[in-house]
Amino acid sequence: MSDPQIIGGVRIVPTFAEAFGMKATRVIITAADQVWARHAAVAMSGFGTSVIDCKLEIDIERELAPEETPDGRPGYALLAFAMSGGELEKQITRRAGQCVLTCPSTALFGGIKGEHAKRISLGKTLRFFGDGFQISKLIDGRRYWRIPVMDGEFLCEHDVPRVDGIGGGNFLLVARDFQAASLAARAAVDVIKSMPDVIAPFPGGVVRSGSKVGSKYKSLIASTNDAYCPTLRGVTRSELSKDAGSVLEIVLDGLNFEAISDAMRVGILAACDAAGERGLLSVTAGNYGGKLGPHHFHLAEILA
Amino acid sequence: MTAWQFELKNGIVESIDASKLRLAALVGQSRQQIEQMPLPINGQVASIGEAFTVSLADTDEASILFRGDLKNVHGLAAQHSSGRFLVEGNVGDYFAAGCSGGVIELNGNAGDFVGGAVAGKRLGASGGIIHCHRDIGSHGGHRMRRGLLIVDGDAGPSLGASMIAGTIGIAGNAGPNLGCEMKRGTILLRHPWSDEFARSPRYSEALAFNAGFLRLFRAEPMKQWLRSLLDSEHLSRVRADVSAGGMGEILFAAGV
Repeated sequence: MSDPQIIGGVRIVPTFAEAFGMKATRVIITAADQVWARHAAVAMSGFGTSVIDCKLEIDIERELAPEETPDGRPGYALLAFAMSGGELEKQITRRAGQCVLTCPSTALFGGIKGEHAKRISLGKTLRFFGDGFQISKLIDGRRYWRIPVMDGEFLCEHDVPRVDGIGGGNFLLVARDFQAASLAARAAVDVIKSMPDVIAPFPGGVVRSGSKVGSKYKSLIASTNDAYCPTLRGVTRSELSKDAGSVLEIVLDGLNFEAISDAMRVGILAACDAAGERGLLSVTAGNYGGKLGPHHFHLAEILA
Repeated sequence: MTAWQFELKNGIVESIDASKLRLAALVGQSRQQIEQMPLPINGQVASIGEAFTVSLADTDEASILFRGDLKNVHGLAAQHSSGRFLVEGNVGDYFAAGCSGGVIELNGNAGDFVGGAVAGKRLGASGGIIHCHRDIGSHGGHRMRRGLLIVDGDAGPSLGASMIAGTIGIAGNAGPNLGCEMKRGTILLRHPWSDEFARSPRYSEALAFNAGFLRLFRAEPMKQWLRSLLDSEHLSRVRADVSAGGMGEILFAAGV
C-alpha cells in the first residue's frame, strides 16, 4: 500500500468525487453599468444552489469587460446546469423573465460559442411580454428580440445553445474547527472563481449541508451526510477522526471534465496552503461507490 | 470554388434581363456552356455570349463579377442566395431583387427597386447583405422581408416602401415617401430628419431613442457604416408608417 498523500501537512484521502451528466448553458447579462448588470446576475443566480430542490444550479462564472460582451457593455457570464434539457429551458426562461427582464437597462445573450443544434428558448418565449410591440432583428445570423419596457427596450437573444455538462464534482475540507474549515474553503473558492467553465453554486461557493442519497423519511430524496457530521460521532458510522470538528464541502459544476478537475486541483492546493498549518486536517471527496455518475475525479490523480 | 467574370461587350445598349443569371446555375458549367445559356435581350431570347465576355478562374470563395456600363442590365443579382456578387459599373432596375443570402456589392449607381420583389413575387429581399456604394433609384428595399441594404449615396423616392422587416441604412439623402406603408423594419439615416418629413402624417413624433441593438452589428460592412451614428451622442426615432400600424422605425442622429 502506498504512503498517504500529504500536502502542506494535510492528508489527501485516496478516494474520488463522483459526478453525473447534466445539461448546461452559459448566458451573458449586460447593462448600462456594472451595478445593474450585477443586480440582474445576482438575482438570476439566486436560489440556484442544488437541483435537489432549486431544479437549477446556476452561478456567476465571471465579470465581463465591455469588449467581451455582444453589445459592448459591461456584464456577467453565468453558467447554469439542470438534469434535463427541458428543465434547463424552463428554469432559465423563468429566471430570465423575472430577474433580467425586470432589471433596469439589462440585455441577455447566449454565451456558448460555436454552432449547437440543441437550443433553449430565451427571447423566443419572453418576447410575448411585448404584447405585439416586440421587434425581431436578425443580425449576423442571430435572431434577437427587442421588447419595449419602461426604460427603453429589453434586448434578448432568441435562443441559446444547450450543451452537455458535468455536475457534482466535489471535495470536502475536514478541519479541527469551523475557523479552519472556513479559512480553507474561502481560499479554495477564491482561486476557483477566477477559472473558466466552472462554478461553485452554493453560498459563497461552499456547502455545509453535504447530503447522502435517500432518507428515513420516504418523501426526501436526500438527507444529511451523517458520516461527516461531527455531532453524530458515536451514534452513526462516522468517517471523521476524533479531532475533526467541522467539515465544509465545495461542489463544482463544469462544462467538461478538465474544468472540474482543474478547479479541484487548484482549490485543494489553495486550501492546504492557507489552512494546512491552521487546523485543516484532511481533504476527501464524496462518492456513492461509483453507482451514481460516470465521472470520477480521483484526488490522487488530480493532485499528482 | 469558381470566380465567374462577365464583361459587357462594347456597343451593347439593349435592355437585358439578367434575373435568371444566378450563381447556382453557373456551377459546374464550362465557359462555352455559360456563353450558350439563354439571356433575354430586348425581349428576344439570345445568349449570354452575345452580350458578355465570360471568364472563369479558381478561387477560395464562389463569386460573380460583372463589369461595364450595365445601366440597361436589369435584375442583376436577383434571388442571389450565397457567395459574393460584385458589380463594377452602373446597373439597371431590380438589382438584388428577392435576394436571400450572400453578399452583393455594387460600385456604381443602381436603378429602381434595389432589393425589391422580383416579377410575380410578393416579397422583396429576404436575406443577405446588399451594399451599394453610390446612389439608388426609387423603391429601394420595396417589400423587403429580411436582410440588410446599405446605401452610401442618395436614394430616390419611396425607400423602404411597404417594407415588412429587415434593415436599410442610407448615408445620403432619401427621397420623398420614405418608408411609406412600411409595416415593420428599420431605416437608418445618417442625415437629420428633414422638416419635410416632419410635416408628414406618416411618421410619429421624433423622440430620443437608445438603439442598443445597433451595437450588435459586429460584422462588416455594417459595423463600419454604423460608426458615425453610434458616435452620435443621441439618436432619435420616428415610427413609420403610422397609417400601416407604425411598427416600422426610422432612426437618425438627433440635432445634427
